[in-house]
Amino acid sequence: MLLALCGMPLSALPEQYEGRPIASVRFDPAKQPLTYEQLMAMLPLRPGQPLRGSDVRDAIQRLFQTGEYADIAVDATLGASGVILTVVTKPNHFVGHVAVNGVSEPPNEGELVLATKLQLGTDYSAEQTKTAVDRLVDLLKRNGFYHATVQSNSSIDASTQQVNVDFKIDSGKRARFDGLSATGQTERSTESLISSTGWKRFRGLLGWHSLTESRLRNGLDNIRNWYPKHDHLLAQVKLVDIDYHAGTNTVTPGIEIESGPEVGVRVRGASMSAGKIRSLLPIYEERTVDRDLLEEGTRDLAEYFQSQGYFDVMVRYTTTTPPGREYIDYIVERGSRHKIGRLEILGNHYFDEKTLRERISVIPASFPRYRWGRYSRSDMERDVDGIRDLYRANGFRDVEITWREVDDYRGIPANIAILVDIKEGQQWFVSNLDLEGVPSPDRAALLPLLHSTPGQPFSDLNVASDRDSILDYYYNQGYPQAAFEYTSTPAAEPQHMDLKFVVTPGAREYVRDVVVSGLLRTRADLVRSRIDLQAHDPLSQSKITGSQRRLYDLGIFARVDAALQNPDGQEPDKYVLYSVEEAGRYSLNYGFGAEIGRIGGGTASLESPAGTTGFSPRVSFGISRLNFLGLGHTVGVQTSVSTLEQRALLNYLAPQFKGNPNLNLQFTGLFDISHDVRTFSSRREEGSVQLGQKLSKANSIQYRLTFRKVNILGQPLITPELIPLLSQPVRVGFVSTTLIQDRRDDPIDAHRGIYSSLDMALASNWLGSQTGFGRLVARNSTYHPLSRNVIFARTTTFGLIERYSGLPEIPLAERFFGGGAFSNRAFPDFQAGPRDLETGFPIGGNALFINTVELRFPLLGENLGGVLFNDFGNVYSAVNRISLRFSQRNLQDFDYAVQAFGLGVRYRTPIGPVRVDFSLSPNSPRFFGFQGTPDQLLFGGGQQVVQRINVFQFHFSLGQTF
Amino acid sequence: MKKPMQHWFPLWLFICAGWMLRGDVIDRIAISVGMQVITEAQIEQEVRITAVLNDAKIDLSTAERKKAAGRLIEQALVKREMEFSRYPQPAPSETDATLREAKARYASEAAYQDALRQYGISEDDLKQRLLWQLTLLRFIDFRFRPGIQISDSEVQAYYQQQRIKWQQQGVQPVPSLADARPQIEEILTQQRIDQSLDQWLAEARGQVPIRYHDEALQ
Repeated sequence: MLLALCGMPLSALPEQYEGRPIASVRFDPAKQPLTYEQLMAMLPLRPGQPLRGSDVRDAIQRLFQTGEYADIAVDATLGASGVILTVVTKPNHFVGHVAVNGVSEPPNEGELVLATKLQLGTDYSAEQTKTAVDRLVDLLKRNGFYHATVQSNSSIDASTQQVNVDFKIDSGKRARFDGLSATGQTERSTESLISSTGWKRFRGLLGWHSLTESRLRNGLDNIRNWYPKHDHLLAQVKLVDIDYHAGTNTVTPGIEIESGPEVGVRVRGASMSAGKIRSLLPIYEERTVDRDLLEEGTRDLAEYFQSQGYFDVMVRYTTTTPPGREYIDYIVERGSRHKIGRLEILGNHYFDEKTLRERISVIPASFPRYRWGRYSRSDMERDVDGIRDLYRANGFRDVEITWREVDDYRGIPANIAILVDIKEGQQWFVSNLDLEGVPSPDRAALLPLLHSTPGQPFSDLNVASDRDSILDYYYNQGYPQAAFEYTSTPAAEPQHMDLKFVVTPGAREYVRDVVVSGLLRTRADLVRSRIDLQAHDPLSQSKITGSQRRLYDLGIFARVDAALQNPDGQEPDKYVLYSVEEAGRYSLNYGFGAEIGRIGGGTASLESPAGTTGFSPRVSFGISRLNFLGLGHTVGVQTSVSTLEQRALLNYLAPQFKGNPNLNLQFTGLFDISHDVRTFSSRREEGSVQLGQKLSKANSIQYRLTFRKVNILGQPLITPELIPLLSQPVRVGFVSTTLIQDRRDDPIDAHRGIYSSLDMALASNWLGSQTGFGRLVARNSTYHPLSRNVIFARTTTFGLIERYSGLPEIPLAERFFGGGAFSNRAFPDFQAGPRDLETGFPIGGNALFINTVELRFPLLGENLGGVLFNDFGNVYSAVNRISLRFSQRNLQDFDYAVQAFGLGVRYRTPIGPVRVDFSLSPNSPRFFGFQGTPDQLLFGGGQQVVQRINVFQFHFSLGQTF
Repeated sequence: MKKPMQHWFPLWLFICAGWMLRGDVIDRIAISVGMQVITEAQIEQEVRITAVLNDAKIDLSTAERKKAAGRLIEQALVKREMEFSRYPQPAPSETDATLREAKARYASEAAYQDALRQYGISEDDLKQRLLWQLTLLRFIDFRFRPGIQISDSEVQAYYQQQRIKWQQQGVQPVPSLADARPQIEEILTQQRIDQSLDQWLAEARGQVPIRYHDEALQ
């Protein structure tokens, strides 16, 4: 083979071969990337047929186009029955898994792999590895590793022709900054420049930072940003070199600064902050001044003032150049301020006004958020284009839409109306659809996906959408060369079109096999079970990307690359490659915080049974071990300590349990010492196992088995006679299930939709429980948009506990406690419901009913909103004592509905709204409290005094109430 | 102890037997241009056809074959662009007139067939080559001509230079600018097309991987 490929001279189809019959065709080596049948099917060389030079060339071309070969030669020998042909081949190789190790970030492994430019599945050559090493050295140098050495190790998998490349890096020590060398017209001292860069640690007290690419870039950006703020708009800051000092392993970046002339930018005729001017004018962003940018600035300023209600604004600019500086003056003539009084849409029949208004960004004036309304002419043009497209997509080919401003509308000065006139014209429909080139089984699958079926509106947009649907369908069935063409001709019926879709699927491609690389600790079967493709399947793009997504969903990979090997090769089946990078095994989290609220008082003192304002600092720490045993499971410990609670939670989570993406299994162990209910302190030891199942996008169910033992610590603040009844240590074992239906648009801050949950639990002695009871908690919440930003939301919660065996009373720790920021806001946290008749402390109840309604509305800008709310309901002593009664009958009556009316403020943040609620409760409960010591309570003495839950409450927390 | 030659004798025997029994390599890859290949036989054929069209002797020297390889690489780049951009291609019948011109150079049909035999090519090979020339011209017209604008000042400058030449050559009468304009515009357009084509080919060579195989063009 080597002789044939490298040594032998060519005899260009000598005459002794031309036209002679081909006796046989062989391949050298005999083991080829494609089967003999596949190879012979693509070659024009057939035994028995005469040999032609053009056929030999064609054969070489076709073999090469498979992409599987680096070199091909055809060898001929004259035999008794004709010419024996031997096709001598040298296989091609392809990039497989690329790993780069040995560097502490930055750069991270992903950046390093990217820098090699070795792309999964593409042709591989040894030269590429050499270039990749150079690129890595360069990247490492840019990140301060001046002494880094890179070694590459390639291994070839002959069966898949894949080359895995492993780069091992000895990075050495990262260099540090040691100064800055600035030349040119800097306007600043070098010390001042260094101060801008942030390259010194704590202003130099701790020396210099180490060199990283991003730190260098940020430092230079900081220097650049200084100049426009000081009227040097045209300043140029260039990195000239980085001077490395090997002796000290430090670098001195050299920069060249040309500060340029002073250019003052002023806005005359209107008041604007310097920051606003800088954010609006493009000359600041582009750092250059030319006529086009100055003109663009006038338009940007005009647009800004229009958005403020100055629709007649005129903006122009002038430049003056007194010696030594230049002034750019934008002269603004705002005119009078207008108000958008009305937006009116006329002539629409097919779409209702609500549908069209949703597509228009004009907002008529309303207090307090849009005092002048919101309106911009350029936005309006874009919105009208959008509506025009909507009509055309629905068959209104001749639709005409115009709009105009009417000032002093209805005689009110400076009151603007925006009037939109629509002439819909005739609607066009599809009369007949002819699908050519689509076999029956595909036709049945395709028709439901198409918009342009008979009787449906005809539009170019719908045809384009159908084209995408058809091609997607074929691409996902293994036809990457599928092509689509269409013709439309007017039908006999007026305003009707006959459509003809011509589909040419092309050759079908299949999966040769799936190759996964990069697994170090993860079990191969775990990964294989998430890949929805196997050998001989049609090559489906959606399955390739779907499998990639499922691998990411395991949460154990930092990177999952998916590619076809030899993507441009014309071969009938291809390897599907997945190259993964496993994520770090440990994840840490920690936090500090504090709670402020009526959380003080109680637990040891009989004072303030209704709670006092308190402050509770909190520290939390957690550690998780990902991909436990290579199974993709997670083991974690989460701890938190505050003055109210000390908690340790051990969790084992098996997501996608048994390979099913809709199942997860969770084991939990909990140790908790809690003082959050002011009546008592408790120690809880709990273990549970939960199977979660996602039934559909909206519906899910959880099955749980729980054991817990709760000890009341110390003396609970209740009548001594009740202590043996309510606060002895108790072990509870129960099964429970929770059904959840979540159809909210946004779980963090819902604007529409519904959320329902039903939680049912049964504690029984056959589950090891010392007491038998059943518990049910049901919740239903709905969200209704009244307008674009005004939401009416409501929620109702109902719960009951029924004892049926074991202890004579439900223990304190198992009862319902309510009240607080996420419950009835008439109460401080856990202060609702029945109270001890002697001490006045809450003792929880066996039933729960709380209803909340909220009106959520915008206040100022995009992020500040307000809420008006009413909460009513309570925790009740028993389900048959639930009452919606307003008034408290006497000081021992707690079974009535306590009302809270209030106002809240929400500030939108990326993690949900921060909220403050102030509530007023006209019927907050009065009760007897005990004035005295615990000993006096036990042995006599002290006295009862009438107390009341404060009428005013405030709550501060994160997230909406529901 | 065996002498070294005795030790290696079986291997020598095996290699020699292999060499004696070997077949002829009748074609192999010489150059790859992206996913297209140019075989050694194609290069040799290009040399032969060029010799026929130029009425020259066949020169299969390395230098000539390298020139032919260069032309074939350019062909491959243009074909690639034409496939991507779906440029219209001429019908094979459009080469009939050019073929007749080529045949007219020979005294008779028999002389023409003799020449083909001598050069080792078939009439079909020649037709393919003529079709390719036509295709290339069509491609150039579609791809480059529409973008070329010749300004009046360029025409005038060229005319002034040409007029001096005509005067030196004693051409009488010297054509007026108006008479010479169409011809000058075509000449300048052709020059500009050539420049554009060269530039495009240089760019295409940078974008498409071109690999010379080890034994090619030795």
